[in-house]
Amino acid sequence: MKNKLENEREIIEKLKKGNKRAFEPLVKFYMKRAYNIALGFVHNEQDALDISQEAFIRAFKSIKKFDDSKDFFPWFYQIIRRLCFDYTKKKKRENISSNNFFRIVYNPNGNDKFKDILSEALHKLAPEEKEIIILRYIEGLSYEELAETLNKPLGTIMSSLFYIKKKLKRELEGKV
Amino acid sequence: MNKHKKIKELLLPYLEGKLGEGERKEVEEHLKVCEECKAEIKKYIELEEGLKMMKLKEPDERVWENYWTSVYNRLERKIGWILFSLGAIIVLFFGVYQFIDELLKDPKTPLILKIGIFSLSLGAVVLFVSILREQLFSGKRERYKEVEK
Repeated sequence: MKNKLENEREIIEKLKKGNKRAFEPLVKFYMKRAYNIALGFVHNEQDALDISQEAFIRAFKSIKKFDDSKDFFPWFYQIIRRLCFDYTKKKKRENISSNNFFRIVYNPNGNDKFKDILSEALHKLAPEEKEIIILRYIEGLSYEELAETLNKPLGTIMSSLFYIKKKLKRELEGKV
Repeated sequence: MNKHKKIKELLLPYLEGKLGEGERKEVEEHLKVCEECKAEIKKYIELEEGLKMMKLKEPDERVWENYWTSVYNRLERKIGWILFSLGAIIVLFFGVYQFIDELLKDPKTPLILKIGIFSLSLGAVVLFVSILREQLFSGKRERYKEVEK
């Protein structure tokens, strides 16, 4: 999976000049990723869609502040993340529906229970843990890209991932 | 920490290929003789396969087809609203100004009404400036402004 658009710099230059139409390839390239990240935080398809679109609008509005020497995605990611945290804070007092949106299409030894239990265990992870799992396994980010995106040291990312996997394994143990 | 415990901790980095040559060999040697670690690594492999085959529920394909149009429309709408609001403020102010000017210049208008209109206008200006200043001030502290890098 490609993690970066080839002519990203060129597009950003055009955006900085106010060319809205130039935004199209960038939006189309990152839209699913933006949606998946938002979904990991907000657990609601419609809100995830709204937040991801709002993130693009905010990115366009503040594109002049973007440092061209850096990659677009880690910067954009911080915008989605903040929007998601604002959303979850706002909705904390409300009883928001929390749908399990993880689907496992792997079935070892024809064991249906495995899929259900893993999906449930993923659903139960903390938002920060889901965030790492989604970026790693859905978006295919490498450890280095994860560290850059989440602005954390590589060692922290690795130990977090190991911790999450141990946690998931514990959930599966004795149930499968 | 005994060797078994130590190896158990190294199983995940081993699977991820993050171990050095020495530790990797150590894990492989241990796996040949330890059934518990063998079972443990099997569980991690299953988990890894499961995670690799994980998907998120996606919206209908039409949502993706219309996604860009929706973002573009929202972008344009925001700019439209800004222009509309600006225009509305100018027109409103001009209309109010003309109305008040005529009322004040009209000799038939009672003095008390002139005072009332003057006070009302002054109050509106003070409120407008105050709101504008507040907006500009909160704009400077807007959360997303700090997203620069």
